[in-house]
Amino acid sequence: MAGARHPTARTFWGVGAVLFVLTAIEIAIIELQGIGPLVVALLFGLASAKFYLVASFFMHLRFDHKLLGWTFAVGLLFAVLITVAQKLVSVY
Amino acid sequence: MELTNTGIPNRKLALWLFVSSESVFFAGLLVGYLVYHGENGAGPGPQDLFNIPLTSFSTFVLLMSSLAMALAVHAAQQDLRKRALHWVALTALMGLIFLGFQTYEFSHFYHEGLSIQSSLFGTTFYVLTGFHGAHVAVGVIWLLSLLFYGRRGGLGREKALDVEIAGLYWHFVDVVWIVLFTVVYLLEFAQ
Repeated sequence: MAGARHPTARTFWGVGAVLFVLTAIEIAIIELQGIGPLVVALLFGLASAKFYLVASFFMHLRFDHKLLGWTFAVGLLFAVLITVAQKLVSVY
Repeated sequence: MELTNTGIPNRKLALWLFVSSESVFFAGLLVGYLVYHGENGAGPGPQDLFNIPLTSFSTFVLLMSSLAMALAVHAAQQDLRKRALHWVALTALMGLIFLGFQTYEFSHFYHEGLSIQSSLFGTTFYVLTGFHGAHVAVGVIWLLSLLFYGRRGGLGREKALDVEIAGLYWHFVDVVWIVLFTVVYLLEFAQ
């Protein structure tokens, strides 16, 4: 069932502020020159962090029954596999 | 309230199953975009068209709408009936602003020579972002229906599950945009 702690309004404001800052960093990063593949890794990292924050806090997965997280994870797994498969096909 | 044998409300679990399947749907559309990336034909490409400052602003709006929706759910659960209504209204307004920006973007791209049939880039771009926009539009309608639902007594504890389920859909739409903004827009300009 649900976790012992529930987020407060302050928690949501905090997460919102972090999302704001992470997005600003993403936009600033593409202006950086000369760091090549690192930019791609950084962008994926930042997007993943934002994804995690929205799913965990706003969508309440951190505080909810684990079955809901697993339900979402199955769809995400197939989504990732489809994307990876496309990349492998295009490479080979 | 009906519960599954796990103790989770049926409608909540159903929404998560829907979200899970929609993840696969959007992955398929994204793959289509990535496969045909660079197929601009004689027409304009992403680097000719994308306006990162404008899209960044609409991204901020959508992200903050997710915050507003989380606060709406929290308020409903705390039985702060009018406050929940106000946060839902703000979320819907921000969703409409996002749609306004996307409408402007589509019409600008069209006037620059990119249509759904002008190139494979045009087809995959409009289908991918258009389906996302359609999901946002459905979300806005859902939120407006919540406002109507709570027009007399607000959105209190007895309606908190309804607000939460609408919120889960809205956050999913936001999460999809997090991925699309990065992969479609930002990576185009990554050096």
